[in-house]
Amino acid sequence: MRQAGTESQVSEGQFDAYSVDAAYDRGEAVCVIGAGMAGLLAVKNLREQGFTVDCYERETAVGGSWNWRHDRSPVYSSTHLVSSRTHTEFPDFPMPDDWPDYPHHSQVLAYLERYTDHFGLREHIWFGSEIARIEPTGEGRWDVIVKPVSGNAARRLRYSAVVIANGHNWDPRMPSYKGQEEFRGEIVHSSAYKDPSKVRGRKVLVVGAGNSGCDIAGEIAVNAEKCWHSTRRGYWFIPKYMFGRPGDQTMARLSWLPFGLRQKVSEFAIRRVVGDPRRFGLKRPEHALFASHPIVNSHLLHHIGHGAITPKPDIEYFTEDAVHFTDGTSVKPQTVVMATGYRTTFDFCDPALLGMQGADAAPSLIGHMFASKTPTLAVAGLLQADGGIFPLVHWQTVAIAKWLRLRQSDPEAARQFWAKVSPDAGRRYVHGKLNDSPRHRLEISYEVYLKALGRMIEELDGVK
Amino acid sequence: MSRLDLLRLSDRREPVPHAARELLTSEPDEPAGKPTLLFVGGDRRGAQIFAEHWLAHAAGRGFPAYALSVRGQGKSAGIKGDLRAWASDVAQTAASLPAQPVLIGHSKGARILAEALGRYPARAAVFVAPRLGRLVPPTPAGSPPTLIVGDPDDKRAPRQSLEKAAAHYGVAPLFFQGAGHEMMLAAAWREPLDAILDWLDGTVVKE
Repeated sequence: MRQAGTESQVSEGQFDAYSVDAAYDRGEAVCVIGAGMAGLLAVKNLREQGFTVDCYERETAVGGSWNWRHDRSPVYSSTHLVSSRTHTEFPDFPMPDDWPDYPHHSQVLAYLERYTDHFGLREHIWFGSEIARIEPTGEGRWDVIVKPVSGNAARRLRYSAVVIANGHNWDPRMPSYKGQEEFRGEIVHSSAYKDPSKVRGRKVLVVGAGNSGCDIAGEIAVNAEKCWHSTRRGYWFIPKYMFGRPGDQTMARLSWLPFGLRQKVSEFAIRRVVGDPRRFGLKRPEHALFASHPIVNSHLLHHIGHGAITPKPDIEYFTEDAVHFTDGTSVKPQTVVMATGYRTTFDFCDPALLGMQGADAAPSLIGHMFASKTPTLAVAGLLQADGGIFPLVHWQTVAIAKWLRLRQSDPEAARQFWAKVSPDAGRRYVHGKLNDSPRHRLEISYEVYLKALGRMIEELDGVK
Repeated sequence: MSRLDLLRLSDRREPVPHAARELLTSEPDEPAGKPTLLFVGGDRRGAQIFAEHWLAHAAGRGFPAYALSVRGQGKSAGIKGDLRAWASDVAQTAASLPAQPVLIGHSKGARILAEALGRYPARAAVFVAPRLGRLVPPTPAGSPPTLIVGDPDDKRAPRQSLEKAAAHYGVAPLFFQGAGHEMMLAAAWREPLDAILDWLDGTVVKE
């Protein structure tokens, strides 16, 4: 109610009014979009560099994807981390060391809430606020149009920079197979799948072999009457524990080996420990280990071995009551769960700003962070990695904050830095051969990326 | 400063296991909006030396005050550890407090503090009679305001080592002639602590 005075300039229902309104200038303040993991890191690390920060969050609480209470959250009741605790925690805010190796999603949310309060971030976050539009003003500054989630009393504010941290696991990617509309059973995206009680006693087909597809298939297997799992390709399944330790710790112990050799040793170990996927009726992986981010899952093969999951190849078409696969077989599920991932969506800005060409294209950014044409626009957390991404995003936001600071404190050094990193737009940070399909464009190897980020931060710090 | 280590392979390969930690507390009667203090000692007595006078006095001035015994100290004496484990104990404890604390390390505890600053962005850092040895401290996370306090006549943390530590962090040391090495237990324990708290009032509490 306090804001009624300012909001009355934009009359109800007159949605275009803000475009002519004068912007409220927030001076050197930085705008952060989203208060999920990446947004919180951005707020904290920008504050640490001395910036005033306004963070806008659509929901009424922090946590983004991990905030299971809101309907855009992709988590299901049994979601656990797939990278171990010490590979996942923020480098400067450890998770409690008496937590399990693989914390539950509710612990991850509790961790993000603690981080928020510990560093006093809440006072910088405007909840229930959506970003309608961001527009460059021309002098490197940004006009941001903020509107409340309920109501349309939009406001135009001007910021010195914008950090986009809106996440990439909230806009469901629904495939469309031939005949899908005629299917009379239920088709849901995995984002709508929350807990196994809904599938009890039903026949369920799970589509997709990402980490969530395999997790969900395992959960449905023990609850539903029947579970089929359709996958398109062969995958590497890395067990959650190898040689008595979380798999990522075991892998890190091999990191003294040259990458190619490490890949061979790991492939050998996985073949020996997990076995040949073809014995389980799955395809053999076509790509080398780590060439695409691995599936960390110990129970999928276990359930297949116990007959609780029947593996199926790719879907060819749907009919009224059945799903037909490319090998000519068909099944009659009552529910189909599409664990087919999420689209990267920025509905509040011109995709060209982020170097996106075409509808389903991935952004082309410098170091997976900076928009190459607009140095005061950055994206945090737009990554898929072969390890926990929290520490990567921490260092991303440190680099972003230091970059914005350098621009103000030493324009000449900033110009040199920008000239040096600019040619890196769209560069891939992976080991050896890479899987270059559009959906793998966000993938990086954490080792390669952290080394590159470290060099970038040292350069911003002026270390020669 | 040493080079940045973003990868932290030792923690990725072999995380420090959990250990029970002794934490002594003295809270102010009324919340005064002042930052939380976390003291770290350098020998087997651990947190105990701060409980004598300093914790209560700091709390009396409105600072919620905590003192930690890392593994190998005080009540946690039975558990073995190394510098990485001790620093992890400090970072774990700091992160478990409701608000970002000021970290204060005494004597060899300053070495643990220097290491811990690489992995936790303290609100501010205070080195009391620091004995850093040959440690090349990592770059502190979040560049906290730093204060070095000592007695120039202290044999265990002599003037030149105070000056070396101060130069490393780019600050000037604050000298208390005659305060001794264990100034929290000395007859004049109040003076250096008040100076530290005054400095915090001026640097951190501003708003």
